[in-house]
Amino acid sequence: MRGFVITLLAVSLVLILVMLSMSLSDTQLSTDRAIKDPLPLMYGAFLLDDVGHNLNSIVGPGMVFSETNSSTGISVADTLSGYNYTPAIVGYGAFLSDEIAPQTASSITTNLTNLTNGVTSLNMDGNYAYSNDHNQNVSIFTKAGGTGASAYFINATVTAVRTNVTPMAFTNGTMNVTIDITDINGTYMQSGSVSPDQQNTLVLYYSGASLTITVGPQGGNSGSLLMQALGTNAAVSWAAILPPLNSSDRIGYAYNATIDYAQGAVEKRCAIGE
Amino acid sequence: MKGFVITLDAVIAISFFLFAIIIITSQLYQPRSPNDLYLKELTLDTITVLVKTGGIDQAIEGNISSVQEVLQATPDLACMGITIYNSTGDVVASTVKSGCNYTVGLDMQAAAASERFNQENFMVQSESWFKAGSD
Repeated sequence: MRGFVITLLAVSLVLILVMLSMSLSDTQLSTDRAIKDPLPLMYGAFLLDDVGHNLNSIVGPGMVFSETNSSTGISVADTLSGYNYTPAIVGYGAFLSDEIAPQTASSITTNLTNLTNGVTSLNMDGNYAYSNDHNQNVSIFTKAGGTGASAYFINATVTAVRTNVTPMAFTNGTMNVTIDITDINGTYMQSGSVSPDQQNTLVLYYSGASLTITVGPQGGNSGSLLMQALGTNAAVSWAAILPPLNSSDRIGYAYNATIDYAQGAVEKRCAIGE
Repeated sequence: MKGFVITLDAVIAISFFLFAIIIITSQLYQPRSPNDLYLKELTLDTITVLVKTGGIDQAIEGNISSVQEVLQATPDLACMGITIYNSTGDVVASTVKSGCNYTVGLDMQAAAASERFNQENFMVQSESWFKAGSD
């Protein structure tokens, strides 16, 4: 009887150890799974970044964002010219679907329709809208309700002979504006402050052409920036000092185009660049 | 008979002890980043570095040295190969980290990225694996 009890105890202990071992083994596998789960997500995030980067290399603009506790900075380099990038972006979309997707065992579908009409439009930092209409050679930076910009630094280069200038009238407002234009004549500079609620315009005239820079309301949104080249091309770059972002906004940009990415259980649909 | 029972008891006790030791040893588990995750991160980071520093563009133009420099800078235990294809599927450039040979194993990780250069589309394919005996 005593032997039977001892055997029973031994068997029970072994069983407990086996159960403990199985439990720990299961935990180990769960930990491995938890670590490996992001693997397809990692590639998805990488691919979306890659697509945003390449689309930016096709349609532009060059952008730099900065952020401090008290302000946000956006710098944009672009051209006011009528180049046609539609074949390039259509070809790139097909390349993603037909070449990249099969190599990565994924499905990639892009909707670039909104970028194939010659207008680059994107959303910056969640709320700011920037568009460059290459059909009209006009770019607009604005935000619903007003940009709140405290300063603009505007540069433009025009390869033409300047014939006349209608300078911007400074009114000692709350928005500082610094303009630096380079053309065949040399450099034309203006610096001062204006009201963001009034149209403040600089027009540089060239032979049968002009470059117009307007800061102020656009579509009822104060503190906006409009640049237009008529009859000529211009390389422009500008920087704006803006209020700090809300905690829910993220610094960055997103094109008015979408991408659908799917690999296994991972599915992501978002604006390109987002 | 008594001797046989004592011997049997000792054998059972030792077996039980050994079994317990084996189980405890098998549970000395330390969570770590799985090899494939490490390789995937390394692969994606390397492609990003090559794209952002212009190494891929140089390789497309025929100068593969920048790509090789970056591959050599990756950890010794990792091997990596980069192949660039044009939009018709032809190989434009290809290189493997020196000291590495292509091996096929469960830990091999592959990734692909697109690249625009001179208004053409290219595919950058990367494969990475551990050197034999490094695991």
